[in-house]
Amino acid sequence: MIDKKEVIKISKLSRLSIEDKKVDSFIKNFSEIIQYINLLEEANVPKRNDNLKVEDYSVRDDSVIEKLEVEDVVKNSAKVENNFFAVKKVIDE
Amino acid sequence: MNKKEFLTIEEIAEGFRSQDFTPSSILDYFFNNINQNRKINAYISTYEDDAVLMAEKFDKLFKEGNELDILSGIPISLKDIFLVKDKLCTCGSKMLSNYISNYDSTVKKKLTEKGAIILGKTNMDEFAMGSSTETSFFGPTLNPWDLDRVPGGSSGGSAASVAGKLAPASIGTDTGGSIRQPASFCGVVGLKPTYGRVSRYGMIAFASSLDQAGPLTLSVNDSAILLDAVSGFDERDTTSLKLPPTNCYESLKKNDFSPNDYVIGIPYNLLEEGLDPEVKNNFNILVEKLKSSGFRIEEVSLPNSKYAVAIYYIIAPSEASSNLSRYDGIRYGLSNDSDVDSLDDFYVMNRSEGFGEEVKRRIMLGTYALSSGYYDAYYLKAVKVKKMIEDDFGKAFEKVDCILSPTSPELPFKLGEKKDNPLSMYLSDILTIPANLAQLPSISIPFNVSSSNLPIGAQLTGDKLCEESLLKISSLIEKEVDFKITI
Repeated sequence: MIDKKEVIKISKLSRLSIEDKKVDSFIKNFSEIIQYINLLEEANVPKRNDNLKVEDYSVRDDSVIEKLEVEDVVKNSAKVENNFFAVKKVIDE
Repeated sequence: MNKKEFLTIEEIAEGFRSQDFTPSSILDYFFNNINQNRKINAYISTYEDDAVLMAEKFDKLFKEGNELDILSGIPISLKDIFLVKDKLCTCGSKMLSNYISNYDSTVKKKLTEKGAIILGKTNMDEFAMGSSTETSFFGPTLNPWDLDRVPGGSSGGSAASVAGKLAPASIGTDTGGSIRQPASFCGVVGLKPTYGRVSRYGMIAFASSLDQAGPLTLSVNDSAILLDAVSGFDERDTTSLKLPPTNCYESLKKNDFSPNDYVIGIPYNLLEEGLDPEVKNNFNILVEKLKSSGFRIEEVSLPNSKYAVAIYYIIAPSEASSNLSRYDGIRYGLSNDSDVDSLDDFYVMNRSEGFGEEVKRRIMLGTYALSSGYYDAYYLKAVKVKKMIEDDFGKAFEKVDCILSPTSPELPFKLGEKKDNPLSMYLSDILTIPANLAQLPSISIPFNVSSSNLPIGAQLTGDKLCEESLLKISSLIEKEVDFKITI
């Protein structure tokens, strides 16, 4: 069973916050889903699948196919300075 | 122009060629319907001005008697997950409600290169996460068959646009059934091709190893036309298969195939429980019909498909949690200008405000499944059981050409009916998810209506890259059932 502490931890890792009034229903639904997913425990995986790895996907040459102009790239950003994305200072004084 | 109720791509193209009607008059017909049916909420945005200019260009070309591609001047709707340069692309989310695309998706580019005219962008579940189009930030789409019911999802706007005469055809995406289930709920044809057939470039990512684009149409032939148009290798999508575009439409037109050429498998073990009695009865009648028309029917066993939903809700949210980490309010997407203490708080603020509840739930499910201590138990186990499902299909395709089942275990449900029960919403995809996990082509064909006049779809799944035979069998079934939209 998932408890409130765990849900808060996962939400932090996900960079999300859940509204206080929705926490309880969220935990309930989340727990039900996890419980359903645990169905997989009963699946008997044959030995030959033991060494199965996540597939490596192909990569292409690191070359430019279609180039976007910097002005276009930054146009969806709320805060741009000199064609750079501007963010809050990340170094403490 | 001939005011026939429903017009397929083939019929419109023939009308253009014989000059019975013009691209402008057809466009006018669809925009009239769109503007009179705004309450269906099938579209998030429409491109009337651009479309009119394009249609005028094609009016002239047809008038001059030019031989043009079959898609020339054909209006098409696109799910709002495909980027169209300089246009809004919202993916049904508040997060992207102001996002203007910088470039064209390959799907859009291929369609317009062949002369198709984009009518606009259709509504969808937020980031394609849902089976009812109710999670859209822009409100739910209504099912044209019954306005109190959902059109299915996530490509619900696309399906409703075709069933509601708001487009002759549409392109949607399917990660766990998002083309086929809404096609079934709206009484249209919906095809999910083999994974990698259609480029994902410029298609907003949900679960990259499962996402695949495909057509929603009024006929099997129209699906073939659109698959031929949008398929083919694209160097900008690394999982795109190194294959030329398909040539299914030409093969279908030859008409040199019959039910006797094919063996259809039925996974009875999956259909024992959980099926609406009306769906079950109608499906059994369909099977008898197909038998008497000459198809050979055999039972196949897919014992591990019962794990499909559980696997899916580990793999898809895991990939989503990674794919959606890009939305932080800095480069694009919702950006709140309230002052916060740190950059981290800024991310949390934007993501919490920009994402809806279902998207948050899936991101967190994925984060949980991938988090320290759980990775082996969840993600790795899911990958291993997924392989067992693929092996089951491999074995089945040694003796049958395709596998038939209902597309959805249930009829279109009422708006709000599953709102507070996400698990029951997830389980409605139990019959469609296995094809995504095994990367197989799969199609939904409408075959009958329920006693309350709601459409029921049959799903046919083929072996990898076997779209051509899948479409041939579908075309034979289409002729056999002679389904008509009766709204």
